[in-house]
Amino acid sequence: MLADSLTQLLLSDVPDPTDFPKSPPGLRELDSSLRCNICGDLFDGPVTLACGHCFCSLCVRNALAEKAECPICRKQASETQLRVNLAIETCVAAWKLARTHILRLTKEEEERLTRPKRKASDFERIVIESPMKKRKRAGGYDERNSSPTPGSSKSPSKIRPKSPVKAKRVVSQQDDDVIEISSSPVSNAPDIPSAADLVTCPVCEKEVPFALINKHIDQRCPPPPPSDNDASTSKDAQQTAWSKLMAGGGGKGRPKERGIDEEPIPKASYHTLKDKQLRELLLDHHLPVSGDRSTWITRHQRWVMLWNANLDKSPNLRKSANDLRSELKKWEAEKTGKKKTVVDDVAGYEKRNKAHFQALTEAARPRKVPDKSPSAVAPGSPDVASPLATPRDIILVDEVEEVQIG
Amino acid sequence: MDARLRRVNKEIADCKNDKTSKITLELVDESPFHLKGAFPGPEGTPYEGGHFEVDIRIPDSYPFQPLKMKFITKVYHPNISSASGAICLDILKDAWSPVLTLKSTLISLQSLLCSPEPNDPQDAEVAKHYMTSRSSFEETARYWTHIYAGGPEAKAAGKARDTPVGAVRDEIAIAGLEKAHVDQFEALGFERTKVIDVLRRLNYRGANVAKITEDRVVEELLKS
Repeated sequence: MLADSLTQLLLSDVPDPTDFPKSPPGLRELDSSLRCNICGDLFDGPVTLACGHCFCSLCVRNALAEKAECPICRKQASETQLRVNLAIETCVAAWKLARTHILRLTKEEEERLTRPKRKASDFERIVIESPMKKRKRAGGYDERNSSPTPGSSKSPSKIRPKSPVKAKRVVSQQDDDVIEISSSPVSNAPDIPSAADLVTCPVCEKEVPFALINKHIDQRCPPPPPSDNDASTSKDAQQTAWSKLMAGGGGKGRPKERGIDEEPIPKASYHTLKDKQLRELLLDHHLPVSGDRSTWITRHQRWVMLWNANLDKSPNLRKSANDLRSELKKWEAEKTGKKKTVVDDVAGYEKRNKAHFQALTEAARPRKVPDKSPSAVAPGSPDVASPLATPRDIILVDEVEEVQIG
Repeated sequence: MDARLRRVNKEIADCKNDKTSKITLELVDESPFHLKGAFPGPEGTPYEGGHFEVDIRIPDSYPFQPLKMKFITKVYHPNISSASGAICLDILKDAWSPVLTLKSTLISLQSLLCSPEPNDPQDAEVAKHYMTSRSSFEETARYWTHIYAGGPEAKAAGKARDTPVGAVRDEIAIAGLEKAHVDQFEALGFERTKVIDVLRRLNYRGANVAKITEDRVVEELLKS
């Protein structure tokens, strides 16, 4: 049972450097070097301390509030030392985009390497045994792609002089491609280059897009043309990426455009503030003023932390003030409401605990009855029981209220 | 999933994946914030061969507040309470840093077993024993490792077998005392448990035996 819940806990998908295998060196290290040592997630608003160590802004602000030293090297540190690390932020943004893709590629590579060798040799044997069949298919492939390749029978003869086996493999792969696309493209994906993937030309050993390899060989290996289709599809993306980057770079320099709202909030010395001033401080930022003074202080402290940490991010990555407010609310609820049980199915809960609720109502009733008609009280017991029962009843009733709120 | 749970999840996975450290973690109840950690006693110490279990509670403000750890297995060590298992280690108190993890903290505990700090003791009596006679202390620590942490049979335990009243001898070995000393005062007509208690309190071991007069011991025995 416990072991089950442990595996259950571990099964939930939490991205981690160990997602990457050890074999292509550097990937695991890259992933872990882009993670905050405090939260273990990819840097969110990375900032650097005077000692050079980098953390998420919110994480390190939290840590510095506990102790004024670098969490890693323990050198003295303070919030005033924090400097935004734009380079790392850009790195993280790019890595977030690339991560899943690279993860998939490494997994595929791993699969390809661990796959039994026998398969590859079988593959070649089949190719050698049935050249006719292969050529037919290869021809079909060419037709399908309506590429201007002259008959495929020509290409093997051209390739042969240099490395016949290699050439055959290339062709056979393309042969396989035709079959696999119709059946299960995913399972064998690592072996089969897609049209955009680069393959090594068997003649000149240059990298050529797979879709163009036949054309390339037929034209006696000209230098590869600039990949037009690639550029055209990504041009828009590039443009937006550039404009994003430019906006990000300039964001810090022009806070005035965004108004006073985007200024960092200075820390307040709460002990010098009167209740009224403290209240105003909260109201200034449209924060709730429920609770007592100490609640106000922790609320404001947390708000300053959230707000200033948010400002350490590039403007396009920042959260809105309302998002921050709901984050603060969530944080407060988590902090105070640990004991509250959250009831999702209110109707079901009421049904299940009906007996309990009724008992509570019964228990609560005698307290009112004596006020109206003391004579109606059953002789003896309630009078003795009520003083004892009263405090407990109140607690229990509170519990019920909580549940209903939840 | 909140940040704390995500981090704990990663840390547990990290321990699971790491086969070299020999540190294990498991859940105690349904909560992922109450764990039981375990590690082998470090080699070349009296704790070698033992399996030490630690109760771990992860506070709400983790990782900004230190983990709460205490030994479940009884350990004879100057910085670990022999009664409650409470641990005196700086990183579990004011020297905590949010970059420390379950694994690194458990490794620190393991190295605490290697290098006791008798000048900052948790268990004063054990610390005195350690300062007075290292060999006697180690013998007792080894004996505790054997009976509480499943360690190999130690010298002290071997002796216990030879004596006809094994159970009583155990009591003396657990207290880290010499049987001859206990017998000596028992012969004066005092209860054995009382004698053990007083001798342990007086740290009647090693070089101290010469310093503490018999009268002093008898005086204490009469007082108690």
